[in-house]
Parts: sequence; structure tokens; C-alpha cells
Amino acid sequence: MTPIGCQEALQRLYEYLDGELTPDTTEEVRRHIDLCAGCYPEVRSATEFRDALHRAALGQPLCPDALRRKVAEMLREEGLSA
Amino acid sequence: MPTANATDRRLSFEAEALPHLDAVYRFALRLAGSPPEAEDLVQETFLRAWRAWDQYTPGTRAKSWLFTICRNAYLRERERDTRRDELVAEAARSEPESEVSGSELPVFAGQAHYDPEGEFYRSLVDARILEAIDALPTDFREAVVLSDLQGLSYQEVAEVLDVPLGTVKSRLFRGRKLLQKRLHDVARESGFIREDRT
Repeated sequence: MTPIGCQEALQRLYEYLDGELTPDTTEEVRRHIDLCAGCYPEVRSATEFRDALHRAALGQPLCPDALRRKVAEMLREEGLSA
Repeated sequence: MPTANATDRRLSFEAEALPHLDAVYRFALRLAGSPPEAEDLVQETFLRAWRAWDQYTPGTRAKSWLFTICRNAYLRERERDTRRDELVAEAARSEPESEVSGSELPVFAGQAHYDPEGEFYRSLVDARILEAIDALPTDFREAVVLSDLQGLSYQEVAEVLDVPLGTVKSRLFRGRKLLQKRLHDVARESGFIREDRT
């Protein structure tokens, strides 16, 4: 396996974090960023950013009960007796 | 008495579509920007989904399928809204949809000086992050919401948005970078990042 450089590792960083790379490419990127001090701030920052978005996603409101009832009623009228 | 087919149809809709009510509401909220519009979109989505349920293949990705219906309903509504069209046109001019350049870094450059490791993200409350996402141009907002907030794979995002995989990657890359810049600005305005930090 040929080691990849900083540019390639950072270009694929999001695909790596999103789990979108093949197992081989994932391993190449992982090997690089685990050992590269130069890439560390970018990797850390991208990770913090994604974590913040995931936290925000969990904080979104759920479907209000009134809307849940409206949808159920609408579907009942359409023939779905939920 | 309902036929066996009608019962199967009802049961499969209840089992596969209705559990995604929260996810569709959250998606609609990010698309439409306000609870009343999101509620209309959700009702429209589930009505259309139920009427078209025969076209859905059981056991496939019901959530993506519902998002596609929701987005189509939203786009139809939006055609009447010229203000948003102007925003998209402006975004297209400032952020051309091209392949990501090989030398372009994933984290926006302005951050490197003050907070290279992005610790400020921890200081931001969820509401400010969601506001910043809502302010993104539509094309980028859709990609970021589907991938980062809803957890869809790139392929699923491509299917919902009806664009090639490369376009999803490009929109995500640029959308995330724009979002990072906006969140960085929010953190600076809020005093979470000090300008004299080195």
C-alpha cells in the first residue's frame, strides 16, 4: 500500500469521516492522519464541526403531537385506518 | 371488510412510512424554515406517500423515498416564491458547482489563525447552528441537512436530490465550508473566539 500525502488525505477527509470510502482507501487515510502532525488541526476541526452538527441534529424538535394527530386523521379519511 | 391487499398496504405503510414522521418533520423544518410551512409539507408528504404507496418497494429506503416526496412538494411551493429563487441564483454565482480542486482544504482558511482545532464549535448552542444551516443557499442546505442532520449516505442524498454523486460531494464540501465560516463568525461575534489569539 503506497502512503498518501497530506493533500490527498485532506481532500478525502470528509468522505473518510462520513464512512464513504472503500476499506482500502479508508485505511490509507487513517494511516496518514494518525501519524501526521501537520494534518492534525484540520482533522480535529472537521471532527469538532461534524460533532457539533450531530448534536444540533439531536436537538431539533420532534413532530408536534397536534400534527401527528392531523396526519393520522388525514390518512384515515384517505382509507388508512391507523 | 378490507381485502387482504388493502390490509397489507395499510400495515406496510404503518410499519415503514409512519415511523419516519419525526425525520420528515425535521427535514421539512430545515427546508421550509418555519413550523407552519413544515407542517403543511409533512401533511402533503404523507398524503402523497400513501396515495403512491403501491409504487414503493417494501423493505427499501422508505426514509429517502419520503424525503424525495417532501422535497418535491417543497420545490413546487417554492416555484411561487421568487425571493428564494434570487437567493439560489446569487449562490450559484458566488459558489460555482464544480469539482473540488485538489488543493482546496476541507476547513475554511480564516479559522486557522484563531482556533485551528475548531474548539469554538463546542461553545455554540444548537439553535445557532441550526440558524446558520437555515441561512445556507438551498442547494448546499439540502445536502448538509440530508447528510449531516439526517445521516443519509452520499448515494441516498444523490437519489433524493436527483443529482450525480460528484455533485453531492461538491455541494457538501462547499456547503460545510460556508457553514464553518458562518459559525466561526457567530463565535467571534459572541466573543467565544478572541481576535488576538495566536
